[in-house]
Amino acid sequence: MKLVRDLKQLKTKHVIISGDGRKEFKIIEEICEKYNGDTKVIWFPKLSAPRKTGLSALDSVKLFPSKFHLNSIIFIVDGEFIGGRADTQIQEYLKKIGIMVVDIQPIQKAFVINCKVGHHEVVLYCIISGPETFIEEEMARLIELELDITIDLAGERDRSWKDRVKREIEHILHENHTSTKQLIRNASSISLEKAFPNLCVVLRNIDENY
Amino acid sequence: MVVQRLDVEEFRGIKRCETPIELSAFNILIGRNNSGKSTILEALSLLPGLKVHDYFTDKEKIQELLNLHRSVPKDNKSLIYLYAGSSKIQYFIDHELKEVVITENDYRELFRKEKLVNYDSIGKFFEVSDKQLRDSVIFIPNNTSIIEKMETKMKSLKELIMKKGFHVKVAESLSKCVDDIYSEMVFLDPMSIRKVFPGNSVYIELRDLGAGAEKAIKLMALLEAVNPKLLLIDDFGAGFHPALIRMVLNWLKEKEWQVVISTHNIDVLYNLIEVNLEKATIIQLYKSDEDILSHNVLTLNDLEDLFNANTDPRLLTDALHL
Repeated sequence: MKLVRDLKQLKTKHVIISGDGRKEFKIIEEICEKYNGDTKVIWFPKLSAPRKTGLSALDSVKLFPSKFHLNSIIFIVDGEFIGGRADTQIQEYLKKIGIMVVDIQPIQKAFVINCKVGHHEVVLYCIISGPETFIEEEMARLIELELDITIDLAGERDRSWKDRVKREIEHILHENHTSTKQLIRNASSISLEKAFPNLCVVLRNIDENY
Repeated sequence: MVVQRLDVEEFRGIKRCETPIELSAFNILIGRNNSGKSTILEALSLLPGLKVHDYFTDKEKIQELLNLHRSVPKDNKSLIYLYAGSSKIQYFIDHELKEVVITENDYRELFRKEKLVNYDSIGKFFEVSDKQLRDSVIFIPNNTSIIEKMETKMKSLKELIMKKGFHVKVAESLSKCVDDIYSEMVFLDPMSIRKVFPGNSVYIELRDLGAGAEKAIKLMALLEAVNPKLLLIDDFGAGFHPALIRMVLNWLKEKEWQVVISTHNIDVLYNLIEVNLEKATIIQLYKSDEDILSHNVLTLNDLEDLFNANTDPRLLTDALHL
C-alpha cells in the first residue's frame, strides 16, 4: 500500500487522523510499503506542524463522510492519552460528540468501531501507539528484534523518560549506520508485526479488504 | 450590498461550477494553485458593473481586468474560457439576479432580468450614489503595482484619513505586531511614518518598510476611508508574519463589509480560529481535469476539528474529486 500526504488524482476511502503531533508519518509510510498493491492508497493529509491533541482528534470524524466522502478513518493516538481501557474511552468520547457506536470489533490489540454519523456509516480503525506511552516504544522493540540491542524502558513515563528513549533510539540508529526508514525497510514482516502489532494488524486488514 | 451566490460559466479557466458558490459575510478561498481562486475573485471584481470605474485606475472594470491579463485592446478573449465563445457570470445580490455575458468583442449586463443600459437602476436599488457605487467593490489583486496605487489613492483621501484619525490608528496597530514603534502615518511625498525612539522620532518612508508591513498599513488606512461594501483580496497573507495576519484579521473582523479573500497561508487559517472570526466560512475549491469547479464549505468549528486531527484543510481539497 502507499501512504500519501498529497492525494492529487488518486482515489481512496481511507484517511488517517492523528492526535499525536509527532513524526509517525515515515514509520507508517514504510510499513505500508510492506503490504501488497501499489494501487492501494491510504491518505494522511497531515499538517506540517502537528500538535498533540489526543482524543479531541476524534471531533473530525463527523466531517469526513459528509464533507469529504471518506468513510474509513484510521485514528492513531499515543497510549499516554488513554487513561484506562482504550475501547471504552474512545466509545464514550464518540458518544459525547454525537456519534452513534454500532459495535466494536477487536482485531488483536487494535479495534474497529463501526459507527454512524447522521445517516453515514463509518468504519473507525483505532490504533493506540506504544501501547503505553508513545510509538518510540515500538521502535525500541523493533531495534531489539532487528539489531539485538535492548533499550531500557523502565522508569517513570514523564518528559525526561521520553526524551531519553528518543535519544537512545537516535544514537543506536546512528551507531548502526541506519535510520528509521531503513530499519523498517529491511525488517522482516514478523519483526514488524511484533514491534508494531496494532498498526500492522490494521494495515493488513485494510489491505485484505481494500 | 451582499453577494449571496455566484455562478460562472466559461469564464477564464473555469468551464462551469458544479454548483453555484454560496457566499457568507467573510469568505476564505483555499485550493491548489490554478484551482480557480483568483478567477472567482475576478468575477466578483466586475461588480457592481463592467463599465463602473475601477477604484485604483479609474478605468472601466472590464478594461482593468483585461489589462491585468495583458490583453490586446478591444478584445475580450482572455476573459473567455479557451479564448472562444462567451462567458456568463451570475450573481445573486440582495436576492436579485445580476447577469453578465462577455463575448469576444462585446458584453451585456442584465439586472433583475432587464438589460442594464446605465447603472442608475443598480444605484437606486442599493440606494447609493455614483461615487459610492464605484467605491463599493475593492479588489486587491496579487501584484506589486497595487501598493503604489494605494499610496496615490491615500493621498487623495488625506483630509478624510486625518480627520477620522486613521493615520494614527493604523500606525498604532502596526506597532503592536512589529519590533518598531510608530506613532502616525504622515502625508509627505513619498508617504511616510513616524518612527518613535526613546526621546526622539524620525520619518521613515512607507516604501522602506518591509513589503508586508507596507501593504498592511496602506490597505488598512485606505479601506478605513473608502469603506467598501465588498472587499476582495487575492493571496491574502503573502509576506505577512503571523502576528500581522492576526492583527489584520482582528481589524477585518470588526468591519461590516462582505469579505472574500484567497490564501495559501496556513497561518491565515490558524488565526481565523485565534481571533474567533465566527462569521468566517472556508471555501475549498477543486478544479477537475475538465475544468469544472467543485467547492466545499467549512465552518470555523469544522476548521478547528480538522486542526485537532492534525489534518491540513488545504490538502483536503483533493477529497472533492472522490
